Amino acid sequence: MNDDRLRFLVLAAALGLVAVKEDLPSKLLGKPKPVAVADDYTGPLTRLHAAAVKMAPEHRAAMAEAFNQGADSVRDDNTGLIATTRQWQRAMEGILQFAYRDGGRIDTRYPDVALAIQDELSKVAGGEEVRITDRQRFIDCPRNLAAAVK
Amino acid sequence: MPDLPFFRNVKDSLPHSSWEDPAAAYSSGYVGAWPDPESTERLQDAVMRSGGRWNAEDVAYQIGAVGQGAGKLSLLTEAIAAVFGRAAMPGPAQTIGDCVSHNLRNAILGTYAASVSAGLKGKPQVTPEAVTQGVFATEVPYWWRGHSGDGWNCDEALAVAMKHAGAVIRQNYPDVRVDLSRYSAKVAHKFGAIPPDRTTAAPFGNNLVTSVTRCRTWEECRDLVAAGHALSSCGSEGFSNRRDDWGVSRRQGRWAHAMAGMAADDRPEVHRRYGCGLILMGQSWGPNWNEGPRRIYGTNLDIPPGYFWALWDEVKARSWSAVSDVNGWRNAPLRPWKVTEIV
Repeated sequence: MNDDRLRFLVLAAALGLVAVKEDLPSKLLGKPKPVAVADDYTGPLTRLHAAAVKMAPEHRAAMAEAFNQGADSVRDDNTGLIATTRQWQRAMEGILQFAYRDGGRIDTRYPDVALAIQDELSKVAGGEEVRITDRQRFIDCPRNLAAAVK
Repeated sequence: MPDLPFFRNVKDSLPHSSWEDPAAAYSSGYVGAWPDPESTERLQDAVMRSGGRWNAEDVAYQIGAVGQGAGKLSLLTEAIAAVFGRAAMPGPAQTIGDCVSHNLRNAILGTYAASVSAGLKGKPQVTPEAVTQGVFATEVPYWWRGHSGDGWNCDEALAVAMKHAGAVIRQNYPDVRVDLSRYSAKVAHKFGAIPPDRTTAAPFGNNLVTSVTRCRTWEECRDLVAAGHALSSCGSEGFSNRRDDWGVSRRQGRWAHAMAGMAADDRPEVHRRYGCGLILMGQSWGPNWNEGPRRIYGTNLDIPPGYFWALWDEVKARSWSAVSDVNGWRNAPLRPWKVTEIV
């Protein structure tokens, strides 16, 4: 698969974050807007949620948005750029990379959150590079991560 | 193939076949492949039980293949050439009525080669002789055809490939006294009405087909080929032994025959000229049964000798089933995650 095309997809998804910046927290946009933090989480990723509640609210919102954009990227991939677990791995890390560093929205490291996210991603991806045959699972995973972080 | 006799009505009276010229035999009415609704139901059950999906529309969505082949030329033959060499095609010419297992082998070979060329699978060691003999053996799956004559059904063969014998490398298997180094009608006939015992079958069950999905439209076939899945196909359509200047053979006569779908061409220029897409038929009659140009329009590539392009509109009544993957030959490990370095 063409790595440049995959990078483009990740970038395009990340740019989606920019496109929805009106909804992003105030600190990121320099405007005083309240940040909505969902503390009534009832999903299965309780370990991640417990770690995420210690994050700055604007960071939680930015990371949740990143994962939702990642889920949308997998859902809308009609050209087979995310056809294998390796490509999904690169896409998920690329989304985080952009939201965290390149996008400049999150400036604090959260080791407990990182470990919980990584465990969940690797549980879904498995240990081998294989073709994705159950795409819904690979859409649901970042969607669930977004819900747990937010 | 609504006008062919169902398998259950003819299987007990099937003769052995043997010929030098398969084209003449099939054109004269030899029945090498037939429909069998019960086999289709059994295959569908096997797919569902294994957690797979029967309908290609669902599968194409789940693997992200929807629209992947739109407007494109998708060649699984090039994946085979890259992995095993061009000598792997067309494989040995069938000398008995085992077109179904040749078709099965070609479909498995195309899918497996696509996995290897995408970096997903390791490549098994095969000898140069095995490559010229089609890499994988056709004889072993044929042992489970359920009768002592010749001829079979595509869906039953796919079910066998999921349960008993899928990709079987061409080599000698001295422990069970079966030499599969070269295609052999005698070995193909070693079992039939009674399948092999467990000991004899043991070496051949390591690389089974993981799942199969039924394609019903051009878009489904096109997209699954583009995603790296070759197609097993049975039907009653015959074709000219002359390819036109784009490598296309038009309908002519009737063959109760199995041929794999090994490539799909959905380019606009193809639609303009023929009014539909093209599918590459993996013929199993050797390199010399037909003639005419093999160059793929707009490329410097040739289709394999003996193969031909068919118009989708002329083959859409056939059964089309995509081979999902082949077990074994361990996949590449996923590299460690870097989330903890980012977050």
